[in-house]
Amino acid sequence: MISETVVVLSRAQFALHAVQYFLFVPLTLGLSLLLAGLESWFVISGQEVYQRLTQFWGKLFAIGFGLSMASSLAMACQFGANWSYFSHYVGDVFAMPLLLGFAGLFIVANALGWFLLGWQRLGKGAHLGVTWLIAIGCHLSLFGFLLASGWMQNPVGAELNPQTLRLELLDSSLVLSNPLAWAKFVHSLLASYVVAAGFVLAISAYYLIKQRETELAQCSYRIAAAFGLLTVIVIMAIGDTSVYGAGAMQHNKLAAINGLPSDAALEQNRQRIGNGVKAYSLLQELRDDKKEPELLAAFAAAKVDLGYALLLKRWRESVTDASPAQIEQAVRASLPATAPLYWGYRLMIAAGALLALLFLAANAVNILGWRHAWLFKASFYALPLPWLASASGWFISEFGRQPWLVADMLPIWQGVSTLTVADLAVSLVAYGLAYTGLLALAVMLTLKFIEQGSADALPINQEPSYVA
Amino acid sequence: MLLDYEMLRLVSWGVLGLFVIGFVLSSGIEIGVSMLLPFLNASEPQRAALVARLAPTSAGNQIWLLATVGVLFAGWPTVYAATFASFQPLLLLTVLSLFVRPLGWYFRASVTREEWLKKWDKALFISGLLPAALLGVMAGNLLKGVPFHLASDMHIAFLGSFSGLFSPFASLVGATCVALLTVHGAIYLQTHTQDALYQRSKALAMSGGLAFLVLFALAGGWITHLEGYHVSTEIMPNGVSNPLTKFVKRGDGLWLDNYEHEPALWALPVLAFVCGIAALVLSRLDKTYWALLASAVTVVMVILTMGVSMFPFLAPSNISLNSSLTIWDASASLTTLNALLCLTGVLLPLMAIATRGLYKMLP
Repeated sequence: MISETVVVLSRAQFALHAVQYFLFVPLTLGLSLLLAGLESWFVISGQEVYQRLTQFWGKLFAIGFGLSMASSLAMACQFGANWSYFSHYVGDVFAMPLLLGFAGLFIVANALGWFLLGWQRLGKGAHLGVTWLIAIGCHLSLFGFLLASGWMQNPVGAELNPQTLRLELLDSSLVLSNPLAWAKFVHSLLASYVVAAGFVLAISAYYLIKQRETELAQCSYRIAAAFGLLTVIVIMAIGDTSVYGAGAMQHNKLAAINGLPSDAALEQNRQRIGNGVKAYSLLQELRDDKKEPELLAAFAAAKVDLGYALLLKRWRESVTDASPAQIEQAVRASLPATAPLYWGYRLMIAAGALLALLFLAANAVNILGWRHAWLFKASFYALPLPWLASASGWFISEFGRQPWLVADMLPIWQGVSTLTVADLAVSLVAYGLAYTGLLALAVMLTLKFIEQGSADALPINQEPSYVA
Repeated sequence: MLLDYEMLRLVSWGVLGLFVIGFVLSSGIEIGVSMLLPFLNASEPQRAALVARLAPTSAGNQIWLLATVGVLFAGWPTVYAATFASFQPLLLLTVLSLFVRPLGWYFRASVTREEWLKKWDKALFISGLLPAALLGVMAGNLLKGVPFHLASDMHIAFLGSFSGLFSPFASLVGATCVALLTVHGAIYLQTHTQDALYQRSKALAMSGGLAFLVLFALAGGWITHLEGYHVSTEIMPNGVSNPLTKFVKRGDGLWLDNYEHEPALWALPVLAFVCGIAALVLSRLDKTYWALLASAVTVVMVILTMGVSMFPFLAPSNISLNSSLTIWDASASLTTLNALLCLTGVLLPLMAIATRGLYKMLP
């Protein structure tokens, strides 16, 4: 049986990586679109200030991207290292979307090199193309990762193969068109735009308070306010109901968010566990190489619930002779805890509403000409607000997956690598410290760039004429 | 479906190899140069220029590693699961040291205080040395066999330890890897420097190159007596992906089996050696472009030698021989491999062209 500590430590590490990941991915994604927009306007209108804006926000983009690279690297290794049974069990389906995400990252990474070096070397049009490639790459990578994460919530297009004992891909088009993944993609995309708008708004407000870089800051402030308001309105209009449309698990999550009673769902899960145990014992028979058609047919009928039998593994290794008390334990643990979801959701909505107010007020600054210092201060101190909204959204999505790694298929308890507690503890602490250090350095560098303002280009952008 | 399962597995294996080559060639330059930074006797402006030159390529180089991991995960999920968990402590150190780049280049470039720069030079040195050595150690462990066991329900048990990963042979492979990338980095430096720095790079290329040739020959000699693995039951290249359906035997020198069956394969290790020597001679003769080409061919041949020696194994197990994973019985499903080939068929050439293009544009 798998030790609770191993599971807890593995989950803690996943949570750590996920938090790092969602600090910078939304920011870079939103900034990438902003960069493309700013430079397009520079090329169209020929106003030089927009080029300086692109260069300035490009510097901050590069830092954010560096950090999201670091977390992607850690993420790419940790599925295999800490979640090896998960990797074996669903890798056939899960890995390809990840690779698509890496492809997106590659486009960004390479285009960023051209972006930084190319101001003098590339023509205006070519440089604009490179900037758009950055935006496209960012979007592609988010799409790939959400395809993977959406599949864990709504595992379509895959089937258990009793011969290989894992889920195998049946139809990639079903995975690509997974409605839940698309709903999540659109929702996260808009949320990322809000994060970037909030970030740009806050830094511009800082400049306006300090009365530095006013030309640059006013311009950025105006754009961020308009862009932020627009995306907040769209996100509220679309809502998040589409995200909860598919599958029993999403249904249970929605019930938890709304604080609804769960008796019916528990009863249903009790039946599915019973059915799952049947599927499990049929699978054992099948593995002894009995290829009788009736057996195959019976297994095919019961296998949708196989994952529910695996829920029992937390308490009993040989699932087929679990006691009624153990089954009852599994039933009770088959739904996510309600309180964190209930409050997480309300936090997201509250943060969203505050943001809508903020962007409204910021637009009023621009249109009606209210130049109140307190408004700029509010814009500045609201810096964490979009992250709070986006992070609570992610929390609902991932925590609401409990007790499943892959909805109805693979419980969290089953997915871990059976590493030692010491290995896991060391890696958790080491990653935590290393990433905190990196984060601190990145914040320092960001502050330095903000202090520099638009005066200097990125240091590596200078012509190194002095190679001896 | 143009290819049958057997061909798909074989072609995907080739694609995985190409991604590994892409990673080592592109990141190898960066890793090599970071390792050489403390030994170049370069002035601060010279260092700054080197940093400025490599910084823009760094993120792209690193994504070659990500893509390689992605291809392994998609193509052989069980191999990814078994090896990554077995190598967990090594991966931790590798990933932590890779964290330093690409941001480290920018950090170093944005501050001018001397003690700060010295610290960054050290950090960059470690972020070159550790990944080079540890990836080599991982390769060495693959050749020796990894201590994992597959249960009948495919749960993987890991029975290794951190110190066990540093066997003498694995350490030798790690050292070979460091020497190889040192040469590659030093010759790259030769193509982009002049005067004193050029002479220094040339000298470093020579000593690194001699070290590589000796270590590579040593590893090659050792392999003839190292325990290799062999599938003793009939191989079913079209069979289902269940690693537990075969028997595997282990014996001294079995990694040379493939060369006995296909003597033409000897060309790979021989070319690695010959091109290594050629790279050194060319570097000596100041034909830097050709020297870089020769060292790139050496890198490719070393990787191919390892792949071909182990074929069809990807991750043999040394404690539960029959749990060993081969390209035939641990691969993804037919549908996934087809999709993988479609995706990488576009991705691989694009990545190669884009990386080459970026290196070309550097000042």
